Amino acid sequence: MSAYIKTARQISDAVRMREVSAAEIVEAHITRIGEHDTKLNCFTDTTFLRARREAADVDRKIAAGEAAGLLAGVPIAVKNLFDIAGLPTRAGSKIYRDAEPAQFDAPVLGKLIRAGSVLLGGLNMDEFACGFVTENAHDGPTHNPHDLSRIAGGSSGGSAAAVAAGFAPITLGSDTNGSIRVPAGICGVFGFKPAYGRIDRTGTFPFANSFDHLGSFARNVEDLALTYDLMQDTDEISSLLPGEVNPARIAVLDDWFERGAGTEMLDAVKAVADGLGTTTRVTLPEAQRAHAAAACITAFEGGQLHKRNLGIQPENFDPAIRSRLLAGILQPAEAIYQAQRFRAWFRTQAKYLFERFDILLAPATPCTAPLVGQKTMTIADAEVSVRSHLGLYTQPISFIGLPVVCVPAVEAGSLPRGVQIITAPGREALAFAAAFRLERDGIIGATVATL
Amino acid sequence: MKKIDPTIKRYFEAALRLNEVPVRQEDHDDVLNAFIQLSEQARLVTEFPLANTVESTPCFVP
Repeated sequence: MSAYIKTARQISDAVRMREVSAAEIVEAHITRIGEHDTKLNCFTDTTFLRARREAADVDRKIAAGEAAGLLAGVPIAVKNLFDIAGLPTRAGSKIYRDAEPAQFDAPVLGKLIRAGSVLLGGLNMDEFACGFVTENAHDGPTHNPHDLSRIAGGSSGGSAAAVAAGFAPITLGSDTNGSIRVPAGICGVFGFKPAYGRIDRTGTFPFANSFDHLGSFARNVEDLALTYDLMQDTDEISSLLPGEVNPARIAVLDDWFERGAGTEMLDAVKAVADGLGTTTRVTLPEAQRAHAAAACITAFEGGQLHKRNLGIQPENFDPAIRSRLLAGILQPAEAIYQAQRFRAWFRTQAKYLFERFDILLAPATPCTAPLVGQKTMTIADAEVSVRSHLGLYTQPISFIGLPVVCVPAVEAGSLPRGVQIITAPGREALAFAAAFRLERDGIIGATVATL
Repeated sequence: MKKIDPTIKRYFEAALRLNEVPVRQEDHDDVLNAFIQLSEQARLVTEFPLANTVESTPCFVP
């Protein structure tokens, strides 16, 4: 089996058993990136020298009989809004690409490095994480590994595409309104957005503070769970797998979460629901208003964050993002205040649902991957912007900070389609248990794309 | 082009000045369009009746 196809668990087991060296693993991935990233444009920065040094350190520890960590020799990469020691944290922007280099890795990245992983570099994203397409005006678009004419989704598009392409078995990203779940679904990989506040965001560039989450991508549930265990210090999800789920407490979200969705997306949700043994449907009320409120608050918080630069160097912003941020600043206080009050009300509605259900299901996106350069798409007979509408079904969920495992539905010959497995905060293990069961039964799964 | 609500247009121009947001002339229409879209979203929120007991969540905890 080629090294780039292996899961993180397979790599770390093989490295620790001395079946292969960490150096060989990292070289295989560097070769894969060298052969194919010119087509995909996942990496904005590579740290291959560092990766070779870290791999050598792993091999030295193993030779000396020292503990090398649960991710011994596992190549990883991070969205370029994570601090990487020695590199500017560009956050997809032109403005910060020549900023003072970060002195340290973001703490969450440091945890993975201390667990034995090796860092291959920084990954492409929408500017300032504002968008769902990763068609970056400064760094170019990231292409979908399963169809190069299509987008990878965003804003963590480089992170999702890198995992789908076999450039790394694990990558990190961030999710404000759907920026892990949208690209995970569109690229056919697993993505995890924990509950709001569960992972330390120190050393990462913010977008909208009250929405920002960090999370990860992988090609199987076990790697995703292990990564989460290492990113935070409280739960040990991976040790709880396979876990149990109760079909009577699983439901598909209807109304807003199916309105405008393509048949192929609804089929994917049905396949997951069938696999979990449920036909129950339930409404999370006023999700459309939640989507709207999330848009208002995000634009406001993001606009305030960048107000100074919007004034002194507007020409250095992606034009598509500049307008939204400027408009966000101008909103009346009433809109933001009521949106925050509505947020509290909406959270209560979700709590009511979680009294009856453990797991809620919804599509990750309304459609499969649009084409690179495609500006509009049709949803419910209306022509709407691709850039701002791929997150229709993710925004209401992150609005109230719920944890989600986004899983890739399997259907030969079709473009990837993601399904959100949503739980209450603190009950992430249930989402992983459901995903694990579906993966075991062949209903969901991720493969390395043929390039 | 969609007809612009004159009230929104007046608010927009006043808010630009009051907030000291320097929008370049060439960006003006794009920002106005983005603001109109946000206003439509905001209307969905502000028209929703909430009980007086519902508090804001400035420091959000899920």
